[in-house]
Amino acid sequence: MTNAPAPVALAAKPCSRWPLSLIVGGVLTAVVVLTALIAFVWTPYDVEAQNIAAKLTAPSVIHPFGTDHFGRDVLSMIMVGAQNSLAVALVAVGIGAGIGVPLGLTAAARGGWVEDLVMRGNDLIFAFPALLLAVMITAVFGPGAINAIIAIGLFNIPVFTRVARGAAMGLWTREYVLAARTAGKSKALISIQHILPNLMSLLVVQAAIQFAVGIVAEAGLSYVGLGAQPPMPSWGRMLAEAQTMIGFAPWLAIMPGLAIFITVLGLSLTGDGLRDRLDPRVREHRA
Amino acid sequence: MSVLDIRDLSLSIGATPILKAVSLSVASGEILGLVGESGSGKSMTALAILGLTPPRATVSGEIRLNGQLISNASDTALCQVRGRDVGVIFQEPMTALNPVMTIGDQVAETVRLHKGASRKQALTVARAVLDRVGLPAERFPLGRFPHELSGGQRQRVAIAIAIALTPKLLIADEATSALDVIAQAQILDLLKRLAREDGMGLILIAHDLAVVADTADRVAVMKDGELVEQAPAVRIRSGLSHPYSQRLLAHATHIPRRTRQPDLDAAPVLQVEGLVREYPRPRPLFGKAVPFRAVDQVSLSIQPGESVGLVGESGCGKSTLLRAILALETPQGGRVRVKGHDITAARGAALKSIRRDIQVVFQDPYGSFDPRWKVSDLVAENFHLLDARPSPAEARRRVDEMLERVGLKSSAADRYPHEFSGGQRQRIAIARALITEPSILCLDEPVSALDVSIRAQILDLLADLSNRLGLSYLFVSHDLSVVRAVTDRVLVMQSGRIVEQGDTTALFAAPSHPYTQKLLAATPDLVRNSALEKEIAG
Repeated sequence: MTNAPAPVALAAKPCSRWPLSLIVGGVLTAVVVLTALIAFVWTPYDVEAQNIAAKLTAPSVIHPFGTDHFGRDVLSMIMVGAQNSLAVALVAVGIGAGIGVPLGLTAAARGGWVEDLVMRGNDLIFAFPALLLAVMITAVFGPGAINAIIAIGLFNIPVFTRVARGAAMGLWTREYVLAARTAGKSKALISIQHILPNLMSLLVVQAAIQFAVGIVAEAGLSYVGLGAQPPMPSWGRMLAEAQTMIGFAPWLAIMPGLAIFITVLGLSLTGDGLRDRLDPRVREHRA
Repeated sequence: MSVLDIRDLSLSIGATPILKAVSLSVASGEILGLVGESGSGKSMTALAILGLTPPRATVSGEIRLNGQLISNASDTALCQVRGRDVGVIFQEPMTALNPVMTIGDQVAETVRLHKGASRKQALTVARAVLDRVGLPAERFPLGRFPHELSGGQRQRVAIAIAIALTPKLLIADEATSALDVIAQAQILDLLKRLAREDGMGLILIAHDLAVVADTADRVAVMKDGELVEQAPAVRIRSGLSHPYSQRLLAHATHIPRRTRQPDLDAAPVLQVEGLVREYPRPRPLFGKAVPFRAVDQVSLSIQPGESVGLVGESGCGKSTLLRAILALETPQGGRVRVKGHDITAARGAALKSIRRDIQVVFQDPYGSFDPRWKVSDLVAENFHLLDARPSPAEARRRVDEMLERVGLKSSAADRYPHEFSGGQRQRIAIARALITEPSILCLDEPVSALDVSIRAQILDLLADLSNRLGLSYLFVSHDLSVVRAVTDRVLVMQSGRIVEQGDTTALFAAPSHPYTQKLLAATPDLVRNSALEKEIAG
């Protein structure tokens, strides 16, 4: 109890420092995103062009990441694969947030049976093994990038619902929300005008984390053949195909593995850094 | 001999001076009241004594404890001093204790740490100390956890920890500000007794002059990091000499001038009949769940231009009643009529039109505003209640006008709430409430979070608005001296019921209900005491 915070010290503390994790994470993420964007207009080689003569060449100046068993350029495939991974994860986060946040806000605003219904529905999705459901969805609707997006997006919904509801419930007892109610505003209007903007920072952090989770999930689905289908390159499928050749062509596994690693690391660090910057509780704790 | 001797203590953070050449001393068994407004350096002085100054602070001057120089002692040496020679009690009893440790272990911890006693010995000491602070063994065994205690009881545990090793000096930093009047009076009595019995020096840091006047032997007044006056505490009532101290006293006892008389013949603006508000409690294993009745059959009415106070200790249901009146919570029974219209049954457009007439100002000037909204939008929020909303230009003109009416510049409209001080924010809150020209304003502890000088200004503003606009107020407060200064009539609430009501002057002069008498007796009141003293002197 001898640990009283000195109010003056808190006030004098500079709070505009950028956390290191945000800088490193931001740079890594930017590299990946830039790579994906460049791949739209230029790749070193055509990803579908096969050159059997140059198959399984080790990384060199001509093929910096080497070639696979069809003689395709691994760098080009990873560049285009980045588009696939990012797009799937991004849309899946969009689905999760787009459906989950309104559900969470509604649950917090309405309470009662609406809240029970939403939250028990969430529990149901959470209780179901994620990969199993993804397999089920793709088994029913067929494999493909779109179905992978739906499967991953579905699992993002309860995550966003919970975050939104938890934070919103805290905000509903705030006096400024009570004041808005005495201004005759409906719960829906208050949710949009007061609640949502004040939990935006939390949602941004959660989105960054879910983005990273989505990248891994997409790679996992592609690995078992349920993601993007050939000839569309995908990091997960590249890993799966490299499995049998790992003894004599290790770069085939290492390069897509590294790509996944760097992307997920970048996004996770960004999420962490954003939380440090946006969440005042963490900020005080760290300082 | 003095326990504590501070000579020319100065402290600055960067280029900002926080304390300027503070010199004071405390004798053994003496109670020194350290008063001043927020930011005056009271708490920083206490932290400096403990060697807990912020890392980037530069400190100069001498602090002697029992003649021994501690201002330049090493941190290891200071650790010995803290807890053993100097005990501290902080304001917030809810966070001062470790929630997962029993009260016995928490008191024993200090003893073990400094005396190297065994757990058993330490617990024996803990038992004795808890007995001393009024937590007897039969009701408060050592195995109790903090959450099982009330705020006042927790503060007693915090005191037990602080005095376990019979320190030479005890610092109580706003130790009673978070407690209601009855608990506050008990804690102050306890502190006074302990200081006398142990010959312990006590520094009582408070913003409330009345608390210091009743308890301390000597008073030291701080302003902007400077000690402006030291005097015997009896002088608080008979007259302090420094102009700032006099101003502080004047603000604390300020009574705003109210010229308008309530219109007693007109129809009441607010009528509450048999209001009941219950909260569900978890159902026991056997039998039916018994709901908790926070508001129990409350009836009241307020006339146009009348100011009615609602007092009671924390948890008595004041705020719940207010929220039910404002239709922010649905009551389980009873009616609330605003200018004859039933707000409890109204929905949609009807509810909106009733809400125009009844508005609210909350306690916390920091939590009352969405931090992302500009003042202009915040004040204009209540335009939502109007059927025909004004155009943006018209809305802005009316917001500017309202801001000026509550004593702010119209340029305030373009700023964010965090750019304003507590008093200014409370003015913004009043502007927001008044923009739809309501007939009645509910005020939930509107000045409790403010310094005395700002409090006086806000009370003046409320009186002025009532004089000019004929507003009625429902003034909820635990501070009886404020209620006495601004209301015509008082309602006393206990455990969800109104136990007594009457004309403010009459009720304060001759309370009839035992609870009201207890409440009044516990209130440290500068006015009452000075009147009493004059009587004795005369």
